[in-house]
Amino acid sequence: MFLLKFYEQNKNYISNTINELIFCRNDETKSDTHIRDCLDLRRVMFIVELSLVPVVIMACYNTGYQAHINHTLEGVETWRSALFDLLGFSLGQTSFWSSFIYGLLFFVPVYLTSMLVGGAWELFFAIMRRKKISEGLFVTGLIFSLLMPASISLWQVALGISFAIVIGKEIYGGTGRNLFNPALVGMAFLYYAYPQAINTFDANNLNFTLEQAFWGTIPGQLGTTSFFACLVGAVVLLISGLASWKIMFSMLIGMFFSSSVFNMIGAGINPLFGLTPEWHLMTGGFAFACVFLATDPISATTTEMGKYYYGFFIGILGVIFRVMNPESTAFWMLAILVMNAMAPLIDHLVVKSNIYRRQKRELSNL
Amino acid sequence: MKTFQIILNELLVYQVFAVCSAIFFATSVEAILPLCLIVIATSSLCNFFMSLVREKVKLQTFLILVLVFTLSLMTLIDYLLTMYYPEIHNGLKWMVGITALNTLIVGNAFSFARVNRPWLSLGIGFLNALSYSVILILISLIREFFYDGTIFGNQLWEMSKTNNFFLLPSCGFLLIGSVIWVIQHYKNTVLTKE
Repeated sequence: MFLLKFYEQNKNYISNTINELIFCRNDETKSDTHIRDCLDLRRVMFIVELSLVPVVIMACYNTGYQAHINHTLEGVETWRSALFDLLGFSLGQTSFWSSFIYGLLFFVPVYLTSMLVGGAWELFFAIMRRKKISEGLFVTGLIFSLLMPASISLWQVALGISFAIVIGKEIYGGTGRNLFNPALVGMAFLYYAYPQAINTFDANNLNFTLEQAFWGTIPGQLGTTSFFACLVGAVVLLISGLASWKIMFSMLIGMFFSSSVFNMIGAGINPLFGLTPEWHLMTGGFAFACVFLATDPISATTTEMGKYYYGFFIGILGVIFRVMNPESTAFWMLAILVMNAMAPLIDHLVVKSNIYRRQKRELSNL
Repeated sequence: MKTFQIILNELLVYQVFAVCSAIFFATSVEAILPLCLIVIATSSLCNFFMSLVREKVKLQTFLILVLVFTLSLMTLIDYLLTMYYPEIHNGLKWMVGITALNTLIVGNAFSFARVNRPWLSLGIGFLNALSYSVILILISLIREFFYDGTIFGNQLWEMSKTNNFFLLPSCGFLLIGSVIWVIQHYKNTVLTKE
């Protein structure tokens, strides 16, 4: 009843916002005094989506592949297996299309739920604030659904994306003003609220080869397993100049540094201390975190020098979280959230040290 | 409407910040109710008696008196609880000490009782502590209900899984933030229109 009344009151506004989201806007700058650039928010988000396409393909393939080889759902009659039979496939085949289609049946419901629920929240806030819906939702929803494990229930996805949009983004005033990466905030909520639903696999049970880890046919969250797909995404993002190579590079250095320190201590106390850097690189979702999560330009540091520190500390913290808490599967998420909180401080210190250095130089010139 | 505005402006909103130390423990209403009662009692009593002696002592002595009086009142209540209601005391444990701090902040005795008449001070102390309790009970209600669907231990909503997020201390801060958000939104939009 309330919803109907709400809809009646804002009928025109809702249809206008949705139209503007799907079709072109007609409020672009035409006069001379503005900076005209081909890169608006819509195009940024589109390129990020494009770079995520290989990850989505590998996510679908690997999810189906894992379900086939582990025989998790054999004999269990669900809507997935019924639909799968209807399409003419049978469980247990590990061909590409068989795995891909079966994985699609896991990925699409999660993605649709996160987009619909997140979109509803975005629309609600857009109406309340009389603003346009921002395109940030498309990337947030996609990354959030790629971070989910395959066996998660849809109501948990809805809860997580609601938290991500409301507490992670809209509470600060919308896209571009958030302190934390919204997708990670939603995942952190689910991680603390329902640990069993998120920690569905053993992140440190490494009974596979490095080559398998490179292509991504290993257990993991939906989208974080494939190193190769993330590499393709990284190339797209770096060529288009949207992601900072400084953050990726220094995160790599930080990871190498801390894992080498742990290697030097030795695997006597904790077998994970002996995990070499290349395993840290290939497994545990490092590539996905490095390329798509840490480089989020809103929540990362904005100063050029600060980006080195930011990435470096993420690399160090992620390895520490992984090694010290073997049950966890969301170590990179926690490391990035911690450093998101620290990013304004890093910026502040970098600017301060800049001022101090210039002041000193001026004084010595006098 | 005017009274409501005063409550919003003067009492409720600023008490929100005093709740911070108690918010960690506000996971169930049952545990938080005795705490609220203690704070209400001490806050109003402290205000009343401090207002009685306001013209007899200097400012410096007055501040010390407020501290001494509040803390001794807390100790007295602590002893009374151990004597007559040991189960409530066991539930509260060291939260009783925290209520002393909250009473000092919430009661506002040293500034208000210094210049106002006893009965008015008692009323303000009571209202301050009441608004504090309202926030605390509201937060603990939300946290208890969304953790496992119970209120006062009665199952109102069958949940398949408990939501452990609402047990975290940080959740309390998040809820306080949301309460401040709602109140500020209300003040900015509804009250300015009038």
